[in-house]
Amino acid sequence: MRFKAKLLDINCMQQLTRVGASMSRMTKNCVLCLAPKKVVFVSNERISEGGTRIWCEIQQETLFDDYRIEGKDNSNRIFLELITDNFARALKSIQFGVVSVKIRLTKKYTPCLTIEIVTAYGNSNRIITHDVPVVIVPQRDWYEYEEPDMPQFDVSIYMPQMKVLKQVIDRMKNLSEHLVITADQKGNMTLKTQNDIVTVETHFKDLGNPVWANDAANNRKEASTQIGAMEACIYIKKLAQLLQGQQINPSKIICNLLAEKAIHIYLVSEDVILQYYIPAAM
Amino acid sequence: MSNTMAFSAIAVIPGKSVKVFGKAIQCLSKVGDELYVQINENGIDLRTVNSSRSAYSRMEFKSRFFSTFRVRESDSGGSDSILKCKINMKPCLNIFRSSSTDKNVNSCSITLDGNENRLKFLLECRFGIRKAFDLLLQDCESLEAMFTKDDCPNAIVSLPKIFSNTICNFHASQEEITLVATKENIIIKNYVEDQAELIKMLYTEMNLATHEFLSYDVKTEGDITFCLKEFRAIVSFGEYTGQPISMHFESAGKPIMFHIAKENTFTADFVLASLVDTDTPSQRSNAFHQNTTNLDDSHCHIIEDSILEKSNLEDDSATQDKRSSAHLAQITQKSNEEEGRRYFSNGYRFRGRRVIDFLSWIFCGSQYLHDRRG
Repeated sequence: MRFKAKLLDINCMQQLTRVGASMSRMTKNCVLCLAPKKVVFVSNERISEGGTRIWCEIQQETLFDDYRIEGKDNSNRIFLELITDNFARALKSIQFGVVSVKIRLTKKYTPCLTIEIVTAYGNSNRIITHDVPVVIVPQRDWYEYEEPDMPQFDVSIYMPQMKVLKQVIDRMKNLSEHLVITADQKGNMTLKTQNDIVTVETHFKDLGNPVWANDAANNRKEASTQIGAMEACIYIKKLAQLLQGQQINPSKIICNLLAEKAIHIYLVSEDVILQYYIPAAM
Repeated sequence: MSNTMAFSAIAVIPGKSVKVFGKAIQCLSKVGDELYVQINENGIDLRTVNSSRSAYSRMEFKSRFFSTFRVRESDSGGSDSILKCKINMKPCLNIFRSSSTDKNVNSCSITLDGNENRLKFLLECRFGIRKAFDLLLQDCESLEAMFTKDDCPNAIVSLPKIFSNTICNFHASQEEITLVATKENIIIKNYVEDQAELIKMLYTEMNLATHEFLSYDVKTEGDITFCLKEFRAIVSFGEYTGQPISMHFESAGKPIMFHIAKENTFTADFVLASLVDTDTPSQRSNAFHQNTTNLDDSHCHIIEDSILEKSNLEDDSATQDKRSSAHLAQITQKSNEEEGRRYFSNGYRFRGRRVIDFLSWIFCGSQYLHDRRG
């Protein structure tokens, strides 16, 4: 098992830093899946803790200048479990004047993802080495971290801008634990929360509904075009977790709603796709 | 209150220097909870030591730092021509916390009157606003640490910027860092106490080339582990003053010293105890041997030197406290052999080894120092 990658462009480094920081805000542990074409951060929360699933995918070519991997079996992949905070903190050392960032899989006292950051100061280079301890996930457990299937959603809708959404959710989360999301195929979405003395609803209009490629569209239940709004009740905290400190600046946010079951959010930016799956509250 | 009655001093800090003084207090507050103030004709001397006595700091503000500096010695011409007192760090810190943020302070005068038992701070601000602070002097003692940085084989002088760029790579919760000095370079890494933690912790290592430093003189190669918290305070003070920091050290277990100075204005010295790795048996026995000899020839006692004789019981209890802490430390030394470290009932965790190593360097009472120098 070998892994070696190199970043030379400051924008790419910052993108990786942003992804790392966003992941550390959302989850404590995650599995980093290194594949020949892409790098994915996966987190599957236990059902007892809420059951949120995160799948954050970056196309390898857009980020790395040099990328070499020798993984196991035909798929040529490596799965590493790590503490997201360690990874994010290591990448924080990427500052002004950074020349290159090298990431390697090393065997020290324990398997480590060694991040070597070379920074230029005046006419000399300074090297900072961070060892992020990792646990190599055995092949028999890989199936747990595969890409989630596109669920059979009832409604698919674009969500309002991140900033707007965050403002609304931040206020609502102080009122109640639950959030009811209602959406239809005509571009209307309602966020609703209530407690004993107040009910707050925020209505969004003309959001638009994404058109999915054939195979995904087939998944959509035929009936949903006929029936109007569908709703799902989720823990508001889980949605707030996605929004707080989110540094991936998405060009669009898609919400796929599975009536009474779950919501599946896609944050789509130029080179990063983040999928966030929140099961409905019991 | 005999000869100290008539002792008085007044020092005025010009507006532009108030912030430096404030930063100095802030830096000292990161080290200890009590501020020992000594005033003599040369200037004001501020010292502090932390509760586990593993870090000591001394800042001397020369009379030229002040726009006005007057000391009136006691009429009786007593043996002491210096004034010593102790104040609580927190209120003192609060005085400068507010003033250091605004630029409206025209001057700050510090008055000490032996008759009143109070240290007075008066901040003259813009628009004629005056802020007066009276701090009660606590029981008085003299605090002195024995250290000679000139004997250290390793001396490194650096701009504070290099250190601040280095330590910003470590997490705030990181307690100690290890510095490995070789003739070619310096490696700074985080110290991991428990090997089991290594599989969870981020391990960081940095390499600094010798030519980055203003002066680099390493005669004995080795590594030394010390507290990051105090080092952060030192570096941030250094950064504010813009003066280079010189670092003097020998080997693990021996203190590491830092020195910042601005000619004719102020000097700051810091002594931090370093950690002896108790896990390696060879090192351990060596260090222990060294400790015992140190303790033997130096009678490691904390002697309270009451100048302002306050005949209250607090004084006595404080004295006893200190003695017992020295005693405790000696006990620790013994048990230390088996345990390596100890947790004290007051909840403050400190490593016995570290305390012992440092205790042998700290002496109270100038008499002893005098003998040594003499």
